[in-house]
Amino acid sequence: MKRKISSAQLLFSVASFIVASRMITKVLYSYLKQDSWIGILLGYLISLPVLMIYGALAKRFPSKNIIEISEAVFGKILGKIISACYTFYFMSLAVLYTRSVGTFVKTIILPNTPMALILILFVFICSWAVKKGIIGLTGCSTVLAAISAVLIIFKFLLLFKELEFKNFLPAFAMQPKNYLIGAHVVAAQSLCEIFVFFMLVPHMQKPEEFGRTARAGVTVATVILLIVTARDIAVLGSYTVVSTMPSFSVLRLIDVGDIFTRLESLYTAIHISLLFFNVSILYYATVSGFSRLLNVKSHQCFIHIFGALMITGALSVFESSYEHTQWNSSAAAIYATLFLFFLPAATLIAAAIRRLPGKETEHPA
Amino acid sequence: MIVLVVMLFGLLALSDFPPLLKSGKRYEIIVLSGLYALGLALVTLQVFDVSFPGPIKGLQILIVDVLKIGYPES
Repeated sequence: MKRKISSAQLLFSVASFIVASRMITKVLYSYLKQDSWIGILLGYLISLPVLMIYGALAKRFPSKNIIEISEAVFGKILGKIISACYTFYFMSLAVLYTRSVGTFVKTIILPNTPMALILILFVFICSWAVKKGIIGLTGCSTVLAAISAVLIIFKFLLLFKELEFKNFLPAFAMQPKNYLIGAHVVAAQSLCEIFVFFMLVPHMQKPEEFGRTARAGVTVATVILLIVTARDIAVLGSYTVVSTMPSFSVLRLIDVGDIFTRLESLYTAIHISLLFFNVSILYYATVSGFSRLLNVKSHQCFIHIFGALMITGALSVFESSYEHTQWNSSAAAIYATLFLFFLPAATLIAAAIRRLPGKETEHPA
Repeated sequence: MIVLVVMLFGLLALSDFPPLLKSGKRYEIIVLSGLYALGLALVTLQVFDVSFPGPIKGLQILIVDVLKIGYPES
């Protein structure tokens, strides 16, 4: 019997995926400073209706991924164009996350190693994971999510004496515009990115539960993001704005009786593992989307070459970390909104108007 | 460096093409060959330090400078 993804596996996968995208908190700190936690709550609230759109689409087309849904709803030509846009979006996210891994490893662990070598090794492991099958990978997410949650709570407890609750003051002191930008950044660059899991819907045991499970996963991840953000603000205060990696800087302060010290290595390990998970999911979405787009039955033959393209893209996408930060803070959320909100909403509206799926497509002979 | 790149691509091609050639999947071979040509061209440009415009930079210019819908720097 073919293995399928259970709802619990999807929930943990969604949570792991979002927790890995926590570097957006850096963008958030720059807009909302000590009120960043409010941005996360607002982002969660505005992502809920978007998640409902995803849920409604998955309920309507339980055996189809987003590429197949687009073609079913918009017809062959427009459907293919929209599918190509989705595939490009997945690829661009994969490239950006891969770049993040390269920057992180080069800055923190291997400053003298060429980034190309770091990326080749990293993408090689991701390609191996994609080749072995995405269902096994979602199985790993349970362990990843559990380890991340335990470590975050553990580090929170170790940092307890460093917490300064006056760092949250003055609260609600930013301009209203900044709260909206912050909420949009959280929703578009983190919470709603789980849209990529739409490519896994046909592999689910109960595809009709996609929306509910995704909402549960996003809720779990939001709680984790809130804890991390609140901890960073309480420990670092205004330094969160100038620090390049606030969560990493916080961990350097842990020193309990000379026993629990230099815990940043734990952060490094779990952060790279989570990014490996994200890139692998996006990698799978890209190759399976591309092969579906060109009506190729198996995506296996495209795995290696897309890995090479991802490495090339990641090496050339930005010339410096500053350019990456600029992209994240000025354009990334707007770019993502097209794919994460407008296109899915248009698809749902078009499907409702055209009364899709019809009976014949719902129960093929 | 370029020899290394060609060798790497050769190795990848050796694992990708034989199964397709064996099963006579012409369409897949054409698509894959196109992707390999694209990949090799991009990597060669990179090896020779030729900068080429990436789509992300283009999108950033479109969003921030042309459409003016980007977020202001905080």
